[in-house]
Amino acid sequence: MTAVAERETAVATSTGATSGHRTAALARFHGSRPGMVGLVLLIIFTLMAVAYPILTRTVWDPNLYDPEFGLDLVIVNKVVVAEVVDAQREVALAFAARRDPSIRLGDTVPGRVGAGFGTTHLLGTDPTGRDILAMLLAGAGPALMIAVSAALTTAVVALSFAALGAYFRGPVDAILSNTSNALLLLPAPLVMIVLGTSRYRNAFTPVTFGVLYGLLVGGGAVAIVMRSEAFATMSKGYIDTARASGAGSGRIIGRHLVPQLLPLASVSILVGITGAIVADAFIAFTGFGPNRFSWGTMLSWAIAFPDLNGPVDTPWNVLVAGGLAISLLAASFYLVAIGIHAAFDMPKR
Amino acid sequence: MTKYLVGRLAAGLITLVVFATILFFMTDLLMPGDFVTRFTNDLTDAQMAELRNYLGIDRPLLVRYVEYMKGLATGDLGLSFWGVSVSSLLWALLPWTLLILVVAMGVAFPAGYWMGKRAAWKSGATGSAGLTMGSIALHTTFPPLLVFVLAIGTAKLTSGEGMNSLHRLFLSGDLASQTVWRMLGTIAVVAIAVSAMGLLLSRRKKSAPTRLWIPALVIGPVLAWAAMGMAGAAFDVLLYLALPITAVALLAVGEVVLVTKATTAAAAQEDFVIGARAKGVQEADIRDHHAARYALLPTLSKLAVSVPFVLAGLMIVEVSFGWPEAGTLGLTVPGLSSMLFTSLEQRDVPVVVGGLFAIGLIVLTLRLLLDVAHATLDPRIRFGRDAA
Repeated sequence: MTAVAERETAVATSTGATSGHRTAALARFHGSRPGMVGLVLLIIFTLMAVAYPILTRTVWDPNLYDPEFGLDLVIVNKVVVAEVVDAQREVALAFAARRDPSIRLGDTVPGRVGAGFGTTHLLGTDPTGRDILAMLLAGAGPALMIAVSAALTTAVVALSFAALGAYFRGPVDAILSNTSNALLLLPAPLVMIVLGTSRYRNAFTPVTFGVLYGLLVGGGAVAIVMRSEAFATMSKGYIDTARASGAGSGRIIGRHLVPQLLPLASVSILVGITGAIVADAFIAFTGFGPNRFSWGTMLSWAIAFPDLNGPVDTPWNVLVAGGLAISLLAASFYLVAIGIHAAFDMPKR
Repeated sequence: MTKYLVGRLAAGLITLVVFATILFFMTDLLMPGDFVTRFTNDLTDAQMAELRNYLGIDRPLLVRYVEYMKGLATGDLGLSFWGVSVSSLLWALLPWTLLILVVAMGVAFPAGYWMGKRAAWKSGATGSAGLTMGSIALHTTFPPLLVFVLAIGTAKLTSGEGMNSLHRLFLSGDLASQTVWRMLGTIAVVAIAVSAMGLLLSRRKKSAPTRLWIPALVIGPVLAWAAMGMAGAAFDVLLYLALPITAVALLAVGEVVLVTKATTAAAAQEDFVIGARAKGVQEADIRDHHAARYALLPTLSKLAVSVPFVLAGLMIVEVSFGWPEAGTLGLTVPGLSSMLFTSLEQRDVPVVVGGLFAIGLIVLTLRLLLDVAHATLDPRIRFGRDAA
């Protein structure tokens, strides 16, 4: 066994698996501005996810800062008008009359509005008084868990599909590539939406959601991209060299084929994660999703339950914060993928 | 080339059979046919059993599978539990989704390709970096939010009355769907005619006037609609779908830019580009006719993989427009997703399966079309040699 390993060291040098190559790759990643931006974003999101439980246990009063039940409402006097222009000061007659039919236009009624921006609520509250910063932090953990579990599953499934297909060819490849082609016909985000709003929705924790998404995308789209790369790698000379020096199938796949596929795999996996993040947010946004908090829930509440006193102006502070969080998380994976692309200097597809 | 295309078609059919099988068993596994228990609470057990028997959902799984595949072979997607045939539902709703997809991609692809190759040529410039960042932003936008912004933006611009009159358009149901089918047919005919002309010109070694393609593709259908006396109706349909089309085009254009930019930048490092430059070919010509033309093939094959994701985005956009909260316009987009989500909520399994099957069919058709484009553009396939 050691003899095989020694003989393969020379081979490995040519495949770029040495520490010198690694430092160079790291330097190239460092030099790629999109990659670094993505990395910084990811670190920020991780810090947000870590900060949330710490803050709720130490500084944050759950009555004010719980992302679901926290409430900070201010009682104000509102004028009854026919059509609401300023929701902070006015209430619609149709709405007020539902509580008290004797109310007329121009009357003043007590109403409640969410507390605004300030030191207590750095990003303000949503129309029903939930702290936006707390909701942002609370959503970061589940979203990251979905992304990471989706990425890992995609990697395992896609790499095994591609490597096994390219190594064994014949019927194995026929079965695997036909499955991939069929899975590609099913848009994975759409399937996840169908399942996530079905009666099994509560079975979907962030991790199971990510794993299932990874199975669909890893077996479908990513496996197809990886398969052609795996076939190209199998025709390289060093695979024959390794085989001639006595390496078995497991060793060739594990030591020579898969490491060669990893850079490209990581790129297409990170790009594919966008779908998982958007699908999960969308499920929560529909309001038919599983019973857990996420950024999608935050947007859904902001739009579906306006003010306690009737319709309000568009709650832009919630929409911008939640929407940006979803987009930036998805974008950070994309940006890191660009960085990895630069690090391994992949000129061709 | 014919051999290649026949091979692709056969492979596509096999994929379709595998797909239908996966779909059938997956739906049955995850969403058992409990339509009966969902809607008939006041029936006795015996009555429920009778209803299940009538609907045919009490038979063994394999029997239903064989029956289902037999039906598919004859184009019969079965009956909805409400008694409507799934095919007729699809006939009424599919064209709307297809029209949004065709027009949005018809706008997004040329625009994205145009911007992408320019960005690749000036990589490092501020404009190029900005375009890349903008594309990533569009690509990762949360679709409902985009819909929300579009809907509110236009609601402030228009009074919303025009939309109300348009709303009546598809209340007339079947008639409007037929209009949309006709529109799609005309677009397909014009597209085939234009590409056939282009192919003929290139066979005769004449430079195909690329610049004329896009105007021909726009003016052709419009003229045809006018000739068929349905220009007004077609305009109404397009106006009604303007917002969903814009949303889908915006979501898709980012990815086209990113993919084109990556492939063109890779092609720019090829020897023939250096050769062309040494020959003294103008830089814009190198970009358009050497690098970007060469990059078109990998661009197409990369986009083929992301077709399902575009379709998923389209579904999300369609549903989001239907939200009473999102659409201050109350814009209901008829289409596959409204069918899919309603039937999902009602556990109407045949319709869910039919809808997903239709989506799979669209993806497969698009992939085959991309294969045809690939074969036409790749001389190795065009002249019969197998491309690696």
